[in-house]
Amino acid sequence: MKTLKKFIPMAILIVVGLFVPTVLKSQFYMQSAIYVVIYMYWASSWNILGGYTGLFALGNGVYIGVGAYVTAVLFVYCGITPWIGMIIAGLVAGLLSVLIGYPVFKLKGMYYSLASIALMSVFELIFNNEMEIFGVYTGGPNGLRFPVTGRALDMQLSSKTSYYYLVLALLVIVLLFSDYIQNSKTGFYFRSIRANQDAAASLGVNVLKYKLTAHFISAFFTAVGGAVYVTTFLYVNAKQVFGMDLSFSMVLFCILGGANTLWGPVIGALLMVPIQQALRVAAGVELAALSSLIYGLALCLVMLFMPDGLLGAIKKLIAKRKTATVAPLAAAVTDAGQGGAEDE
Amino acid sequence: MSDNVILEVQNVTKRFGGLVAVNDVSFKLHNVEILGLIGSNGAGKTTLFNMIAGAYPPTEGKIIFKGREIQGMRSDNVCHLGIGRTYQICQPFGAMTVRHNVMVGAFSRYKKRSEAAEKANEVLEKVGLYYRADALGSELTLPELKRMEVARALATEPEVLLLDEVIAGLNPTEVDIFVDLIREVKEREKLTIIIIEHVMRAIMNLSDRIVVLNQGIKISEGLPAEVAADPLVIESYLGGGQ
Ligand SMILES: Nc1ncnc2c1ncn2[C@@H]1O[C@H](COP(=O)(O)OP(=O)(O)OP(=O)(O)O)[C@@H](O)[C@H]1O
Ligand SMILES: [Mg+2]
Repeated sequence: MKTLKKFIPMAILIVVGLFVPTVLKSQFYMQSAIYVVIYMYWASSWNILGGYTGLFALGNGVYIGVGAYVTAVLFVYCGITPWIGMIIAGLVAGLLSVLIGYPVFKLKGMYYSLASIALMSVFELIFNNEMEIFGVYTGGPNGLRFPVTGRALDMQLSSKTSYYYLVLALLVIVLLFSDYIQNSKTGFYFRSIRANQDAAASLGVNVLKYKLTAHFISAFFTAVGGAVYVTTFLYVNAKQVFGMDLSFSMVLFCILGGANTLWGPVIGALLMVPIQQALRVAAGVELAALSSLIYGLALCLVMLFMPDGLLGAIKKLIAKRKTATVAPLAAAVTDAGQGGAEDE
Repeated sequence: MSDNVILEVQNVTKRFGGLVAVNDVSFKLHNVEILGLIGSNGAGKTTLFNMIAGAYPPTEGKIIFKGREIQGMRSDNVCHLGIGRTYQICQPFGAMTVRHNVMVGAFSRYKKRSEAAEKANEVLEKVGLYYRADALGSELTLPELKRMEVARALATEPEVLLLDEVIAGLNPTEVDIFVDLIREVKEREKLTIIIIEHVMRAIMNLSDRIVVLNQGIKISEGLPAEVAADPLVIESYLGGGQ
């Protein structure tokens, strides 16, 4: 019964997700749908680090960039297909996150967040200003173009719809993985670290090891998303992948929907990406330049007034008036959270 | 009796800047005994626990657990070796249920979720908190929090348990219940316990032996009756209105 209830939201996601392309006919709307799903995916990837483990990294876009560039370079210079490249990119980003995590964990709270932004900015600067990195031509501000082959084997898919299904599959994978983690020893350890790392350590939790684990997992998934993202454009440049926008957005969407819950990031992105797209169309370039400022502000407001996000707010509301009519919804929402209510 | 020593604190000193919180303290802990650790506020009792449990290393001295030096070891490793501790100021994982709080401790011995849950249930039953298993850590009352602290530590299956003022703040009835509980758990699990407490009735009643700290220095050690009659202890601690 419990597992059944848990899989209902997942089933809804998959069914609705599969039918979206039959409704959205135009290329423009399909591109928007891709954005919605990939942001759901990134917000979910961030959730593992920022939500479950409470490590408030604000510069996780750095792994999108690393994933993107590693995949691009492997394809352009070594002819390695992005299907394999994205996995290598994920591993490289994971490794980088562990190397970075080691010194950065000495920093507490806000300083950790700032350090992660600083890191991303450094990457943006380097990739934007240097034409070559480690002797490999990455094009600086001109970016790097993927040679067009048009072969599905090179992840060059024939339509937006195909790319959409690809990112949908990624989303389902990261959600299933998150759910698995949440219900395992690792997930319990993540949550204990988030709550109180000294108490966690006294109960046998190797805090550093599990923080690095969270970093690795989050960076891996984020980078794989970055790899697919740039492959849909067949082009990568530094501003596009290392900018503040991507990093801030994934955090904002996750927190708005409800960090530390399975479905929060999905709901957050579902609501916000269309708004973001509409604003971009309506206001054009000037507003786009201001977007990281807007995201920053929005993030502050959400954290001030709705720290548990929409799902958290709904949960509270339901807890207040537990009537029979909303009970199934309550169960679904609770299940989506902390590994489920249980009768262990 | 020396072959029966499970934990030994040897000339341990802790300085915080200019402050000497613990000053050249030594004592031995024997298998399956309850050692009371008393002393006025700021005497260095919690600091001593923190060093034994690995929260921070001593400035000087050795801590030997079952023949092995453990001073400066990380607290998760100390936990795995078999030393559990509770916090004077309760440290619940507020957003997690009581059962899940305790499972975090149980995971140090059991990899699988179902096993950890079983262990947590068993321990919660033991400390009389099972009825609150599904409540959030943040929803507990003080006596319940103290029980949860003990339950979490027990779930790590320690051989030595460090209890830091688990009785403080409870009403007299609860104190009696808790004293019984501690004695019961000790007997059943063959636990060795160091207990810090200001409630004299409880500590005199529970402890096999008592160590008294005053301003970081050990000023007395012995059977409860001996310590209670020690003029130095009466003057520096017991006399002070306790
Ligand atoms: N991390 C720290 N940094 C600086 N000083 C500290 C620190 N921890 C404790 N102290 C100081 O060390 C002394 C001993 O503190 P400790 O907490 O060990 O006392 P205690 O015997 O547990 O007292 P109480 O009965 O009030 O709990 C106190 O003067 C305290 O202020
Ligand atoms: Mg103390």
